[in-house]
Amino acid sequence: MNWGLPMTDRRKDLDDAALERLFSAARGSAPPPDAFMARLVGDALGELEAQQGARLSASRRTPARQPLWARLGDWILRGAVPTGLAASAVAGLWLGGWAETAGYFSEASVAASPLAQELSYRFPELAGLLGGY
Amino acid sequence: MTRMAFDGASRDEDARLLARYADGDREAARVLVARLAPQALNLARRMLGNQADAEDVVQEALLRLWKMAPDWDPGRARVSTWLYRVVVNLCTDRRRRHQPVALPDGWDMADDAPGAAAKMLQTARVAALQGALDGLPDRQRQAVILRDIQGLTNPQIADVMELSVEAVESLAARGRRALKSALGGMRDELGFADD
Repeated sequence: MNWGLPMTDRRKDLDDAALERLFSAARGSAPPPDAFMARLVGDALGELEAQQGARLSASRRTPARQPLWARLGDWILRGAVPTGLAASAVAGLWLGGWAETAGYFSEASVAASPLAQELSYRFPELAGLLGGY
Repeated sequence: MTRMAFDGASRDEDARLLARYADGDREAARVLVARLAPQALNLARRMLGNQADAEDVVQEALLRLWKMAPDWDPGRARVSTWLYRVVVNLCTDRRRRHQPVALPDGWDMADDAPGAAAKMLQTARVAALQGALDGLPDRQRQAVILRDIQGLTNPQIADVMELSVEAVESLAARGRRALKSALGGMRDELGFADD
């Protein structure tokens, strides 16, 4: 087979030593041009900056995950206010029911109390204030 | 011949440098370019016979390396083997798209060649070898260049070409036979008349 080159007599083939000298000549090629090497380094640094920029934007978009103890503290604080209000309401209802059942006051005694009278007297005035009259 | 990036002792060094690069070390980029680019460029020159195309191919291959640096798995392949494989594949694609342009004499010769006559002989030898290499089938050309010019071992070439070692040996042997036959008629011009 001749790969597009002139057919040669088999007896005139190069020997291994001659072929090795050709390979050796090919190994002694000129070093890469400086401008080419500078271009490669420029590519590398440009890509590095692009990757760092992408990482920075991604970290800004996604808030850092807090540690477990901090998340637990947040959860307790967020639940404290509604839990406290609910507990106070339940306790007030329970105390009121208990006091009425135990006979400490009645509907009539509450209606006749000075506080109830004061509230009924003041309520229209308060309502007017709240309504803007 | 410099083989810094391709000998066994440097196996972990390229991967370590690449990891440092991925962590933002700019100096690691410079060192990696200095270690990998000359060999890759020499390979691409021999594969394509064209300096400008060879530079484009090496630039593209290294750009791919930088892009995948953050996800590089050191257990998968040596950096140099991976780069050689990409260069070989890019060169093959480029050769399929268009035939290499004929080169001016001395396009890749070092400036410090001793004496005018010796330089001319050296130029003639490289040009003749390049012409004969261009005439080989792709796989034979790759095997011969990787082994006889780049100096890789058969197992390393098998990794690059993704072939068995036996297949590499066979390709390289056939390639060398074809080169010896093709260049035999140029003995006089190449200075081997008295051999």
